[in-house]
Amino acid sequence: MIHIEGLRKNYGSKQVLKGVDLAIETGSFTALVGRNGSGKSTLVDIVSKAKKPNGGKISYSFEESKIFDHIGVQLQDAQFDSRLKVREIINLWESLFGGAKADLGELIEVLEIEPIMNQRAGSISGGQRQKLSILMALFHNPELLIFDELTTGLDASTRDDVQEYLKMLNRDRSKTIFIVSHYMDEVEALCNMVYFLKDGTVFDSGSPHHIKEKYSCSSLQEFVKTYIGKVAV
Amino acid sequence: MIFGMIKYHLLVLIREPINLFFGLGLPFLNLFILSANLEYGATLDAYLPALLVVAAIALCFTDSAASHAYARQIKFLRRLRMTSASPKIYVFTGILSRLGALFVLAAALTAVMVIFFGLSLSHRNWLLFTAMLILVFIMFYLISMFVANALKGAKNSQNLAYVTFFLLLIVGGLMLPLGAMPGVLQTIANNLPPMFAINVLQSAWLGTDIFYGHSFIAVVAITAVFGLLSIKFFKFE
Repeated sequence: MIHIEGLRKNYGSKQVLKGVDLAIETGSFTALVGRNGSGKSTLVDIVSKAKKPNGGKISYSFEESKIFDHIGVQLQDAQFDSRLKVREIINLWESLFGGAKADLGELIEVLEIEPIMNQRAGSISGGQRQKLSILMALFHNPELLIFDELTTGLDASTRDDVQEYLKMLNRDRSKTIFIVSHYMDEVEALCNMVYFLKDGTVFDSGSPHHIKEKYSCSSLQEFVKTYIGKVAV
Repeated sequence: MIFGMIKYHLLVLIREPINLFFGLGLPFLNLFILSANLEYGATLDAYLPALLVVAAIALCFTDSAASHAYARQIKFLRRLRMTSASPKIYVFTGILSRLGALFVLAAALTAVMVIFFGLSLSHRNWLLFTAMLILVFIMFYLISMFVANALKGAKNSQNLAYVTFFLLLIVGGLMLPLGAMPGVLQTIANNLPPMFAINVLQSAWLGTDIFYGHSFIAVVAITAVFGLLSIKFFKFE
């Protein structure tokens, strides 16, 4: 669905991405793992057209000019206008997309949005904001979902519900999912492909099982600790 | 989509107390302060353009510019970018909603002046006045959009929007009587956008020649220059 070759990105003299090769295959559940500052969010920004790369090539399997018809992105640091109520934000998105293409009722139930519908975005908790952000990414029922730190800030119970829901979307509704995550248990439970970013390049990639076998590790957490470095949670 | 975006801009406008006070409340407050110091209602109507200029500046700087800078800061614009809301629609609906608010205010101010102060509405060139009000609003809107985008840091842009607003209000001669200001400040005030805007609106409202002096040309020139600058610096991210 998306193929990246030799992607480079500099911030001034600092080279963050030094030639990244990565593929998000249709129907896959792919993860990107790396230490803080390793360029994960930069890569998401470049893929979702928020930043321009300094070099390399990205090929999309769909018309690039209509990228946001095909992808839904949950952003790590983008917020909602604190003066708007959650209901008003959802109404605004309905107006912008000509109605929710996804099953809005189902999303509201899974993400437990109903209790905060009449609250202003500025007064909801970080976890609730994260849920709203996930809802917005799914709103127009895109084929590819990109989540930058999917479940950070969510309580354990909601985290399980969100993970189950995404697993179902990938398995039963053929959604391609790409996540940036710090939780190795999450990556192991959800993903069939994982890329490890280190020093601006892909250190290694493969299925969680393949990685564990190749490096003789009992878990991805152990692999990351040994070969990638401390991944902050 | 257009109605959704207009609703968004209007919600932001009414939920921000500073917008309500300076954009909608202050012109009425000024009207009643002025009315207490004037003997005849007929003289009062010469102040309508100045009251509308205060409102236009407030709607453009404390609302449009500050809200835009805030939306940049929290990356809400980046979220909008991932929908079908293009920069053109965002700007168009932003202008339309604030202009709508300005016209409602103008109608309310005029109604108050007619009902309570005996203002006469006869012999007015409504078309010309409406056109000049739109022109003046667009001039301030484009200046405010330049201010909201000129600096790289969104927080600084927001602060700059408020600073510019108060500078235009105070140095522009909208808070103090021009005659009470020192000579140098009077010269500065006479060459700032608010005074050009007041002159143009007053001419259109009172039926005098709008081409008298250089105010109309100044308004057109400032609109053109800041139109180009605001396009060059516009950030939708």
